[in-house]
Amino acid sequence: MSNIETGIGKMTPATTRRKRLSQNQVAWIGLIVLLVLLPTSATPFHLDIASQIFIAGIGALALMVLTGIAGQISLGHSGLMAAGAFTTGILYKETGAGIWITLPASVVAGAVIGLIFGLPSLRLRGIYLAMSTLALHFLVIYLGGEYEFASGASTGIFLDPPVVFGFEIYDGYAWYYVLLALVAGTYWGCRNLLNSKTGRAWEALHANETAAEALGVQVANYKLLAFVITSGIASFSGALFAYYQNFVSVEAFTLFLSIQYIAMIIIGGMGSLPGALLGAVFVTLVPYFVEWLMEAVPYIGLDITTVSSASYAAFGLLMILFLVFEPSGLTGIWKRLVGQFASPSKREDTP
Amino acid sequence: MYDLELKDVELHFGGLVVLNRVSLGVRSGELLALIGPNGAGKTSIFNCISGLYRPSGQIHFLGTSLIGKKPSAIAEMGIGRTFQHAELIPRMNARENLFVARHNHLKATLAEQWFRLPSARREEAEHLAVVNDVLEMLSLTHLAHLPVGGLPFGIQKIIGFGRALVAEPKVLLMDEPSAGLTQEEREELAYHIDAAKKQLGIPMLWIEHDMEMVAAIADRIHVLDYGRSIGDGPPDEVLDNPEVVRAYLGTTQLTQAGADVAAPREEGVTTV
Repeated sequence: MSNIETGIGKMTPATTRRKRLSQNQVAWIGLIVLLVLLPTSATPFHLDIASQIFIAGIGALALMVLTGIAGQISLGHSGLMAAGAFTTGILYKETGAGIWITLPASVVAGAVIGLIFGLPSLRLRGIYLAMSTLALHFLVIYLGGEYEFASGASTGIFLDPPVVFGFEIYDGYAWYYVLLALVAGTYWGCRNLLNSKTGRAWEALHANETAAEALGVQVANYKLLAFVITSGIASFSGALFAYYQNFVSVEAFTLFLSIQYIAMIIIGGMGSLPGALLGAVFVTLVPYFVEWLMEAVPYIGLDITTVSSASYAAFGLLMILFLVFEPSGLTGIWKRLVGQFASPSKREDTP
Repeated sequence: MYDLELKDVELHFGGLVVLNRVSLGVRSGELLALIGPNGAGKTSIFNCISGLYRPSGQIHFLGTSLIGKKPSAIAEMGIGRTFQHAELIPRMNARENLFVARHNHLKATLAEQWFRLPSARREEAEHLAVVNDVLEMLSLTHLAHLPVGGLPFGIQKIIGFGRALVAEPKVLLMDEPSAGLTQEEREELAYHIDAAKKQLGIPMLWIEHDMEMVAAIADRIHVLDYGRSIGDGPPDEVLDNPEVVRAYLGTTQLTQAGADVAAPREEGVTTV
């Protein structure tokens, strides 16, 4: 079928695989080893922060794929996480279902909601699309609130620790490793997808829908696919959040949460999967940092409201600073640093 | 018999007649140059063929009507095109840009892609080899790893041409591939177009303002003016036709008509 002189028939895929690890692979292996060993010298407080970062990381990866790669803006991220949390919470409370049912059900629920709320993306873009996804948020929160009220669980739904193969995931160490594995798996899957036809189609429609269509990409289908997949992942992270907190309540899923996720992908660096994870680390740490700062600075009356309003202010400031001074985010800073420190001899290393 | 044929194609934007009963055809292995002043409707013809515009009239490819089909479906039938402004994906490098055009050749399912199963890996490697061969053929290999957003416009245009080739098209539409290229790049491009024509043996439709290139490698020329066809035939015949010369070059340049004149009426830009 290929009559190009470069035809497929003539070619055999490169069979020689390079045995030497690239610098990049070494860095990744180092990071994984570090993360696996980290709990040996961590307090429960540190493990809790790390677990929060992993859950946020899964959600941030999803939003990065949707917005940073496929170019579809969404303010519905918090609503999708709520959908996952409530699917899990309701299934558990009503039927006592285990995670092998609740987690897949949460993914499916998120994917279906994503499909429905992806439909406006076929007509709308930019801020208009963002507004339509906002409706998703309020709808899910409304339904969740209705359920809480109707079931008499007006403060929320309590969940028991999940049981996997007879092991109860309860203490900080277990959660740390489970969530680390899940965020790593999500990253790996997203990475694979971006290096395949689907990811390239998303990049293409992000850059220019008309050109993408003329290259044979069914733009409408791929937009919806982006919503479906990333909504499934976001909902999954919401379900994990519910299990991790042992508790589901609409109060956890505010519009501010959606904005925090947008902050993660902006601060991390748009279009970069490692950026999503860096952003998740950064944004999760901000409130702790603000609290630490306020404790360190004398004469500031420290109570919950001042800490949280200072966190809000810090977010606003950080987003503005990044948008103005470093639009490529933490990944941009990282690349520049590496570029500065990489010696010419190292550069010659790469073919 | 024409492989790609337009019959009485009409296109209106509101009250503006963009294409007025245009009929033309291209045979396999034939390079048809589409010339005419800016605003004559050349790019509009491409957009009608690739399904971006909805004209009245008939457009057939190997007996199948293209009217009313989605652009992606038309592309999947093998109708490839390049764009006036390259329209590459700036964040991707040249290799990835070319790879995008293999879209419809790749069959891996979503699960195979997500888990990067051996089947998906093998497929990627096979198609990457096609991409690499086209890069090699166009002497772009040394630039293949650079984000295309930072490359000179002329190089981007050649990458855009390569992207169309990578799809292994059954028809190739080229929208001013030489615009923005240096003389040296033009000569190289002319070589590649000619080579592609000979190797692929497919119908090729080529919008061009560089009459020197057209006279050198086109098999036939079709001339448009204000949405009307005003000439069709072999290069030497068409370029000497007084009506064509008047429409295309302006009345004052009658005597200069010929292979060395390459002055379009205006240097406006039209986009897709």
